[in-house]
Amino acid sequence: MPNQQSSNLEIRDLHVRITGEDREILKGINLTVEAGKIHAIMGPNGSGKSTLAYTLAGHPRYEVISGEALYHDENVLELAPEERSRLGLFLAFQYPVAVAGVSVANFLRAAVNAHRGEEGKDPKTTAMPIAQFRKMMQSQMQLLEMAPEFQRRYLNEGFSGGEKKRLEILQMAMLQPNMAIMDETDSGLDIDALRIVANGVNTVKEQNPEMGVLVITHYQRLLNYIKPDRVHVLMDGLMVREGGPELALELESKGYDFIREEVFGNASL
Amino acid sequence: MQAYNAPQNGAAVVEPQDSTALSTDQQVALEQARGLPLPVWKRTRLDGLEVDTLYPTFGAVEIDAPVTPGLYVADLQTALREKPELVAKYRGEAVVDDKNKFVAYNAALARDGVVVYVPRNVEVTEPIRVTYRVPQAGAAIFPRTLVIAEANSHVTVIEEFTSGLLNNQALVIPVSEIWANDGAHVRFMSLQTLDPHVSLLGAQTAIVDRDASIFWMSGAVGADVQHMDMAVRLAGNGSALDWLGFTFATGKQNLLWAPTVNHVGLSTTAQITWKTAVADTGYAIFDGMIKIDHSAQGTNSDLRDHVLHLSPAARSDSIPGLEIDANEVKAGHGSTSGQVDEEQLFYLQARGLNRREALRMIVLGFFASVIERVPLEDVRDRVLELIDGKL
Repeated sequence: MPNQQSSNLEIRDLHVRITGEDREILKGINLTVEAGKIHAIMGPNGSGKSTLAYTLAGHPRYEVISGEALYHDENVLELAPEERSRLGLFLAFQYPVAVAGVSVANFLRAAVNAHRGEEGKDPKTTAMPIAQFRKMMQSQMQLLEMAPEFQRRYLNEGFSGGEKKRLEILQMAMLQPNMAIMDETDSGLDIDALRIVANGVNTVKEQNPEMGVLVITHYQRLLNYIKPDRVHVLMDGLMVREGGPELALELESKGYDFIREEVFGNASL
Repeated sequence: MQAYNAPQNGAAVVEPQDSTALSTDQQVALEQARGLPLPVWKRTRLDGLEVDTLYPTFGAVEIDAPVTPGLYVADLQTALREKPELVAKYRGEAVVDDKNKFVAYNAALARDGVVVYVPRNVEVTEPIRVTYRVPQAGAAIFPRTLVIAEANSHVTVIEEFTSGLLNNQALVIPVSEIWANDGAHVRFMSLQTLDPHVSLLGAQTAIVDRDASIFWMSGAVGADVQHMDMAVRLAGNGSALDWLGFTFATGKQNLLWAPTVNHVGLSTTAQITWKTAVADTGYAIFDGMIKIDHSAQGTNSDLRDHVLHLSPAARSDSIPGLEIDANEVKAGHGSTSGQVDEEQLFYLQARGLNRREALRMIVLGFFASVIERVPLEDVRDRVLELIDGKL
């Protein structure tokens, strides 16, 4: 089990490129996501938002050139993806992946038990009893307004955009992370699906108030439902602006170009 | 591709130590078997088979049958004593013995076997389990399974070719023959879980009469080399076949299934679905064929193989074939081949599963659509366990 005590995620001077390529995508990111707080990263397409999310989760496509991401006194960038997850980090995927033949329930159970495993102990002794697991899954599915037959479907196979995102939130609810990164969770959702998904995030946050949340989004829309404490603007691989919730509204009305002009001096860059 | 060579000993396969113990019929059959040429199988590795080191062995069959009024189940020797006319009537009638040298050897030397006879209208609710176990290295066994389901009867037979851990070669030459008479329903599940020193070269055949149906499951996870020729003849009008198969070839295993379905009767249906996974330097072959005779109008037939490659050095050949000689039929065939997707692995790892657990989940998921359709829970569990055991 991850350490239950709260902890900030501290990203220091993070430089990242796509594995095998020269060009840097993240050019020195500094960011602290505080435990118990909701931080939002906004930025135009191609600014490096998803690269940051994938890098924190450990996707092999991204190579860390330098920098660190400290969480619970560990540089998580040196850990395997599953170790980061077990430490309490969670990435809600922008594009959840389908796996044929693996039911939602079996997958959730494997994930929950992977989090309960302890080194040197037989997984059978640390696994959650099946009745307890079922009860937990059913109550979380109710909170997320998910029909019971959902658990028998194959993971993301034939799911609508809204179903995929809801399943991401269900996974978050089951794994109870202490630091959740939501990568463009609003993309591809209509307004009803957006409301359900955002309510789900808020519900999980209420269940675990110490959880830190990093919401990555292109639009301000999602932030009407998930209220951020801090807003950060990512542009061309750098954090260029930080402010309160009002910054999101300003971006919504003015677009990203005004910041681009202020920072880089030329909107056409 | 590189064709495989013949086994080291050219003409003979396995010689009994004392052929005088054989019946006259068997001695004739043995002469015939000796005279047959070895089959030319370019996808089956026979050149490693050291036939000189092998000797026929008996006493390899274990039978577990429910008590059902009318049902007759006996090992082959007992059945030859108790019901000689029954055995004589059916044995060798479904399989053409003189076509294949190995099948001919089975005809000559089969002593281990089982005879299942289900009279008309008898429904056997519990499965009959038959296990052929290779007793030790050096053994060659010749299992013979006969299943005769009379009109409107129901029966389930689970057959397994298995062995303990062996430290040297052994050989299994099995022949199974199934008759589903008018309106009968037969479920036949055949598993191969042999030690990776064993070769299995066999044949299985079914004849399906009017409105009869067969559910067939074929599964291979064991053996060094497997070559199984299988033929289902949908002889009667309205007869049906639902056939599921799976293969998981790892190490240096060379596992071949060659199912052929022949539509003869009107309005016959066949659905054949295989899942094949290959890892390490394993080599799996699905050589399937649907033949629709001119007489078989109104036929509906489908043949599919899906292959998952788990290592770049693993190989597979998937050859689904179709021969249609009737004009009013529906028939489809095809195969797919893919690899484990890195995005899937990462997604599962991001939820706390290590790479090995993630891979295991993906491979079990790959086989799931076949396993879920196996009608008996204990067989489903066993199949899952067998696949899981190789991961």
